[in-house]
Amino acid sequence: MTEQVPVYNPISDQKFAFRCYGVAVSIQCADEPLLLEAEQRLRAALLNRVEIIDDNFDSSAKHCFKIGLHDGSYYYSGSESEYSENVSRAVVLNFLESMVRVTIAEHAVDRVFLHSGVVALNGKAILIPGNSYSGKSTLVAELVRNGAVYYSDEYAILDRDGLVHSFPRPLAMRGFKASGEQTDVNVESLGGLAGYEPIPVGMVLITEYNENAAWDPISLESGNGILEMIPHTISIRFNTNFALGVLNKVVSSAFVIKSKRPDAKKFAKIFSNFFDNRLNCIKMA
Amino acid sequence: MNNSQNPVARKNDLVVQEVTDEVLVYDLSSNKAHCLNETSAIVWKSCDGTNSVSDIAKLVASNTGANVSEDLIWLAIDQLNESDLLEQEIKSSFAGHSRRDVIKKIGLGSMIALPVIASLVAPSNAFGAVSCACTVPGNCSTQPGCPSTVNCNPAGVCAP
Repeated sequence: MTEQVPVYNPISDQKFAFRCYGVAVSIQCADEPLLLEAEQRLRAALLNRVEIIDDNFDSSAKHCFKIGLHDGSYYYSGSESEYSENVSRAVVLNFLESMVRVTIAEHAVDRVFLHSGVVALNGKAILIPGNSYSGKSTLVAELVRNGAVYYSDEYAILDRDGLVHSFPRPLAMRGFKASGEQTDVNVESLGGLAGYEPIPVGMVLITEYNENAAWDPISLESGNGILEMIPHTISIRFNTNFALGVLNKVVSSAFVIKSKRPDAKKFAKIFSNFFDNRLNCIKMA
Repeated sequence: MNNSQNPVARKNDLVVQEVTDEVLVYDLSSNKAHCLNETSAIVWKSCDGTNSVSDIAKLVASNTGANVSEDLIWLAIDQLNESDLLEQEIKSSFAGHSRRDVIKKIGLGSMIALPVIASLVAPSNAFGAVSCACTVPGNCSTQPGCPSTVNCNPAGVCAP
């Protein structure tokens, strides 16, 4: 990283400016095919939930990114003085996509983005918060194969009432490639369906894979449940008050369960029974 | 009357959420989150600068209907000090005893839950918590959950 942030050139640079979840973003680039490819990637990554904004770069779009080609290699410049150069086309597009997604998740208006897998069983959402490479997508895929409705393998998008909105992008399955790259898998190819209706959270599942683990769940009190979700709450530093209020809504009506788990295939079967029993307990109470 | 020896709960730069029987406190200056169980929450709320430790013990007793020793209040204050949730640090009166000794002593006779404060630090930036994308190895050092924190591979992923 250096401080050589390129200056926007209104004559040579073109832009793709849009709003997504209330966040204004502008991508500038002097290379039209590159900009077009970036636009296509971002539209796909954001499930085309973009509203084009047609005004001047410096008057509206709050989060500006710039990519381009210089001396035969590509560069990236972000909204927080990040600058990288001498990278490949694929890397610069991948990095741009990641940074734009995180920016929108952090600054979304009236929504809290939790980095989490989400499926639904019996009309209730199950959130599986976790970092990248923690096995969320694999677990979500197995739960879908066992009958759960797919909501997301990346974000639980929560509104102010604590309802979860779907973000059903193709599942990003890793592990197929040694480089760590992902392979997109459609939910239909797993024999499952995506859900689109906002639904309440029934359970927050704090879990991590451990080869020799047995499923031994404990139920967390609300406060500790929120504490477990904070590291995965993308806007926690930017919009603390709102984010904590929404997490509080979630735990007020959902179980927060914590346990290590065996591999996803084995666990998905165990978990479906566990969830049904939990819901039955509530109904009986 | 306000006494400099009486504990005062910090109010600035905190976001407080009342949760069932617990209080969640987020410290905006350090980006630390603290979960106070019921006992430590009652103690913290009673730290208004006018209540002495003895007064707080009585307040906790009346809230919980149990006998409450001053040692238990000191145990809570010790943790509130450690979590930076008091305006000024209050010197503990454990008089040479370790916290473990005091917990043992209180635990045997206490009818209410011991004060507990669980804490964690929020991720240093949003990107670090959610992505393993990189253009240079420096991007990976702030993403501790990725397969590598030192290598940005040719595919632009923090992985070997």
